[in-house]
Amino acid sequence: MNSENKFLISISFNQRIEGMHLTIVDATFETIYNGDSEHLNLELFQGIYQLKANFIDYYQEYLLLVDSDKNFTFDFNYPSVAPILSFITTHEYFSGNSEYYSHKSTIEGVTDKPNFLVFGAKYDKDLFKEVLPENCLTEYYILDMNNELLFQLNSQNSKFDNDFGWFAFSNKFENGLYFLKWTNNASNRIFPFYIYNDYQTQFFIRYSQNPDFDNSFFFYSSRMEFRQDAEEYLVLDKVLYAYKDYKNYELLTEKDRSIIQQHPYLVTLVLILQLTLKIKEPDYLNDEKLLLPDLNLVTQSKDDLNTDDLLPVISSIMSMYAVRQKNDTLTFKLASLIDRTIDHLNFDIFWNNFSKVDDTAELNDIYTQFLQKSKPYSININDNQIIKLSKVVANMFGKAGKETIRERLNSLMGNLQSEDFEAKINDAIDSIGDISQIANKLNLPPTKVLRNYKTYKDIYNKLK
Amino acid sequence: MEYAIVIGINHYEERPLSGAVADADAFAQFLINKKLVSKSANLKLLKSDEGNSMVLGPEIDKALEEIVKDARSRKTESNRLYFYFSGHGIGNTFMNTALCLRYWNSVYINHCISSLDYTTGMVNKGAFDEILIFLDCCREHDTTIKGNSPIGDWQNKVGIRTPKIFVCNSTIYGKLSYEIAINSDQKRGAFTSFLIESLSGDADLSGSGKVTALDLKKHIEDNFLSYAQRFNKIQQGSVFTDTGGDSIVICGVEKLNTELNYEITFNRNSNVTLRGRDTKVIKSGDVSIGEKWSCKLEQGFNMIIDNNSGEQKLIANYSENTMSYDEF
Repeated sequence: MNSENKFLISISFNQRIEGMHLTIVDATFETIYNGDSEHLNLELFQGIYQLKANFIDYYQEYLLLVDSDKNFTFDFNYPSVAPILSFITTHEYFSGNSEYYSHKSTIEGVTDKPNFLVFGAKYDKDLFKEVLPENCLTEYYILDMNNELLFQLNSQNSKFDNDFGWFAFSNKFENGLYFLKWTNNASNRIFPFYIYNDYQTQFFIRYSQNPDFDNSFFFYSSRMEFRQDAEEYLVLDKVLYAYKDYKNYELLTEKDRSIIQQHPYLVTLVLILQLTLKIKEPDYLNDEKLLLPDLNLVTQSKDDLNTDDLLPVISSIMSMYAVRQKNDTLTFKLASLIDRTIDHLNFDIFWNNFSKVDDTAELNDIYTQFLQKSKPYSININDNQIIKLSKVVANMFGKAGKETIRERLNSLMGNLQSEDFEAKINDAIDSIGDISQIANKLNLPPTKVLRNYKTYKDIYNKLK
Repeated sequence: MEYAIVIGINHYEERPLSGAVADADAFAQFLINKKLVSKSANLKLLKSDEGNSMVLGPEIDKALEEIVKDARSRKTESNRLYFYFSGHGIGNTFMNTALCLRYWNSVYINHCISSLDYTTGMVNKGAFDEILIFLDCCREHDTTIKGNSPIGDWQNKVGIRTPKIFVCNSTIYGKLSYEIAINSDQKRGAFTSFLIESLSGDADLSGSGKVTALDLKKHIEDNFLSYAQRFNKIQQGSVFTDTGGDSIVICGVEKLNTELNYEITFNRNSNVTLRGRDTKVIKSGDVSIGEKWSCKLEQGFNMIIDNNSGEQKLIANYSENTMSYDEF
């Protein structure tokens, strides 16, 4: 079907994405190229071709009209991270403004570079007209670890542009634990984050009609700033992909590994993963690390465990990539384990994203079951890494005493103000270990018992 | 003899769907029109409606038992069973999806049936030679949800027939399935829309005049992702066959009676050019909103270009023997 002419075709991408998988299909649906490459030089007959580009979970197609020698340069729409890297698929002001505000505090009187940055923008500035960044601002609060309100973002302490669909907040905080809280009507999200010396804690969130928390992320930058041309954000996604399945760790290229080496946050994430998996010779052992609580969690022995600072940051990873397996040793359930390790991103993962858990009091119960599991979970070789990590976390927390649990719950929940908060915590603590028994006795799913603990506990007591 | 159980559930208390019932209707209609189920009584269509309490579970078991009773009486015939489900789903394991029934919500989280147990049950009936299962639902992970088993005996094998099995999931394990807007006021499952087009002939890429399970499997694996992309969705189907399921001849493909095989409806006022797979111009001219071009396209990739804006669109014509539609 092709003419006799062959043309020189070059295919490249505006984004430097190593490890991209490309497939070219000709007009008769025959695959003529299939392999990993970020740049291709080919000789093709005149015709119409389809280019398919895969990179980890992302996929995009392009049309190639080959009727002369051509250079094709495409954008790869990489939803999680790429829009920060100058991707035109979001809008041209995203990366420029993020870079600008990561340098410059929006708060008067702060002269140093800010060590905290929140940057939000619409996926497309021309869509979702009803979403005004100015209005989004006031849905965000920054609380210290004692639940004291430090800032509610607003049009005075933040910058925004309703026409171009972005907002930014930056400031300088003391070292320590903080909470970024988002509230909109009945919906809430609480994101614990840390401030470290000589790091900028960055939080990026994008909007369609609603904030896309599934694709939001934190980054801890030792450069103290966000740069448009930085490649470490893309590598972050590759590292997270390795959390999903360790086989994906092989996708990291030499260049990726060199980038990881230069970024303590990435070093730490890789180390946590490898230590959890009991990899005999973990990479980057001697490189600079960021002392995330998670690292303490997987490196310290149970006896040495200092629970004061334990707020596992990687629970966000767990919630993103939680693969729940059937496992007889866990009669009561990974979903709650994951929830209880402070689900930064998905408070609703327990419901598998089908519905929100709006009532945070329910979360008290859920967290409590995790915290109170006194018998250590056995870690099996067949467990995937997320399960292993969940069990490590569970076992560590499970050793804490009642007071510690109480403190931890208070901390986890941001010292949530609730009329009957104390009573609920006590109820939850008093339910240690018997949810599975009640569920077995009443032949009910444990999840159901958990949600209606008091009711079923009463029935259970009457039956005893 | 052919049999079918076709289920569509829109009316969930929480997170109702829009297109599942229409999908079930369309699939059932397809089976009837193509005479893939020759006796209408053998097609059990179970649909939710605002005014009914379908589908709660026992209807499915009852439908299956009625079918099994008839199938067992046809000792010398080859029996085929279609099982189609469109609604919410939850991925329990790679092989097992909890298919959410009518009352499923955040309280009745286990009001589901287990696709694996029902498949096993259908196999163990020993009444079928071919079982084709199509599940258009999400498969996000959650092992805490427990899908119910058939209420009758499903674990004990009866009879000597070992069916060929073809299981077609609308999405890979752990991922979502999407509904797409097929017009301004109607949504449909992306997968079912693709499935029906595939069985109508698009999956017969070799032009053999029939669609085998292997053809369908290859077409889904190669092209469903692209189809979903047209609607800005990332969704990849997953097909599993067992005991020779690849060799099932699902249906024949009728020869297209019309000269033309592609219709493009325009949503713009502009000047456009349609090029064939060798890039030669097929047609060029001014178009206005709502105007349609009907044309004969070769099997393969063609393209259409807006000469004013430069916008290009790939037109994939999988079969010259089916009528296909697109917008530009």
